[in-house]
Amino acid sequence: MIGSQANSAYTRLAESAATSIVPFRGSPKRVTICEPVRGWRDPVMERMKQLVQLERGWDGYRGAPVGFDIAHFALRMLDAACGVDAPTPQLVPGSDGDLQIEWHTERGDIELDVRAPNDVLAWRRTASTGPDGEEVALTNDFSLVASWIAELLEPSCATGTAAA
Amino acid sequence: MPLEPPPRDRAGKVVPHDHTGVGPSDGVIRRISENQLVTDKNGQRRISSKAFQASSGPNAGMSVDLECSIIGAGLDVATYVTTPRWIGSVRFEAGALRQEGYQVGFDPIPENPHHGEVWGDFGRSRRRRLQQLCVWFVPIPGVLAESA
Amino acid sequence: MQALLNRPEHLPDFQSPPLNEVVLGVQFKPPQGYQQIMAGDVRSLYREDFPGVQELPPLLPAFETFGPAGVLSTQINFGFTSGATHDRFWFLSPNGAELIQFQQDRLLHNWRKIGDQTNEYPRFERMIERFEVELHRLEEYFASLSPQRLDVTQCEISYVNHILSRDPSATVRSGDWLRFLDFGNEDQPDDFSLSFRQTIRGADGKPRGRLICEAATALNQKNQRMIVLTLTARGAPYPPDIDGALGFLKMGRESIVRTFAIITTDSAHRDWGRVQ
Repeated sequence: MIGSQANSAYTRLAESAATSIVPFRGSPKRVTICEPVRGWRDPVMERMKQLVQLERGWDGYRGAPVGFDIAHFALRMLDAACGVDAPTPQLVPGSDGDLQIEWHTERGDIELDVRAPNDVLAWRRTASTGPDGEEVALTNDFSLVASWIAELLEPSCATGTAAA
Repeated sequence: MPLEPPPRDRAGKVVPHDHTGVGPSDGVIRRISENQLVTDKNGQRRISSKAFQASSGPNAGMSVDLECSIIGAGLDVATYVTTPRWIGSVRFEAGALRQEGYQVGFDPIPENPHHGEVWGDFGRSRRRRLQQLCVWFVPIPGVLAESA
Repeated sequence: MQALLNRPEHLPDFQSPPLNEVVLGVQFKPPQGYQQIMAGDVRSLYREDFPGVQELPPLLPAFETFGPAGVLSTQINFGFTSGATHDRFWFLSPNGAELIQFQQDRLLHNWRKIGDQTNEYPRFERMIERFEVELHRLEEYFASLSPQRLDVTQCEISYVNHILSRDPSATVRSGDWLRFLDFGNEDQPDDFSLSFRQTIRGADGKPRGRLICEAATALNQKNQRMIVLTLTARGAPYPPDIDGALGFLKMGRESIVRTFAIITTDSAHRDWGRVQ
């Protein structure tokens, strides 16, 4: 697939020696867009590294480490849903090498059960959903999750009214 | 007394069943790893709902240890289930699980001859109910067993 | 599903497009019961037509996801490999113009220009027909290890074009070839590298994948200046099986060819013999 991994039969321009093409000498005129720092990403990457390296049987039974494909998919899911100010989620491995991503805040709870790439059960519980919450099956579009996270970040309206 | 062997399919795989050798007051132990803990909105550590999920695949349930089988082998239950080191565990009563519609079965495996399975519905609301049913058996200090 | 043997009538067509390489690929869940030591069995599936072998480092998983936070361009690299690694194997045709790439979660089929660059592109219809056979062969092999179907998580189709100046001694002017990069009569930039991405939506309006276009200057082995224009469609198939994958690849190809025609100039089309 494209990116720094060359799946075609020659090495991409951005990399070293190709069989049939070579990069120009001199500094190219590039437009570099600096991506804003997402504070949640480093701690999530560190935690994910731990989870893909779990020993088999980590749960006391036959628990498998989080699958590499699931880890990559989950990170891309978070990249799509979590902006720069999203709170850092907590990551919990499943016994089958799957993964659950959770936020627990004053405004509500969100749990994303990443069962496989393109197979996510998204659940949240807030004051508006009631105690059982609401659950939605998602594949590759996480706009809904982004809106849920945005609601978690909204300031509470329930303060400062008791002074009257 | 060892439990009667469980029913198996043609491939030798244990099929979901409710084992009569596991009585209603017998303990069903579920091991809990540090990796399965989360912090709630108040900073309190709890067990994640993910810890109460069945495995995928045919005939798969939620892995447990059967207290009666361990005792029947003359072993100390708390010592037996605390493997690997530092792992905690919660306990259900088999009867309480069955009242919720679950089957509690025996599924010995080479690495754990006292291994059992709980079969049934592990949808999210059901997992929260399971958290309400269990109590710490080998507690992890500072961690609540019930869901928020 | 039998692959379409007839080219869609509405699709732009060129007699001599500047194609240098075409890649069809799928990514799938690692199959149950498979280990790298069995790669020799997989080689046997394709050995008759692809007798050559090379080993390369594996490709990392790749997924297109959608949401308002956008997509980071940084690659995900844990800095280590998890558990046992599986090399990527190239199974090459006798002349090296076509190859199959295999690792435990990927199968790709490449066609490329080789040698004096005169080998003809076999056309998408023939490539996808062969790829369908190759996918089914692999699925049948995995099913022999453990009853299962190929669970396809992503598909990708790439067209890599090498655009050379009409006059080999002159510098290639981007505006002669690319509608969106015309510097007019001003001095041409020494070189450039740019990309854009566009969501591919299904009939229901939901995002299915992305079209990614990259254009950059380069030199070929004859030290000729050229533009490498790469168009890639990547996304999740529905359903997540071989039929779904072939459907995505077909949709991706149409998206690529239409976009290629839109972003390249009329004079370029004359050079390439546009017939449709």
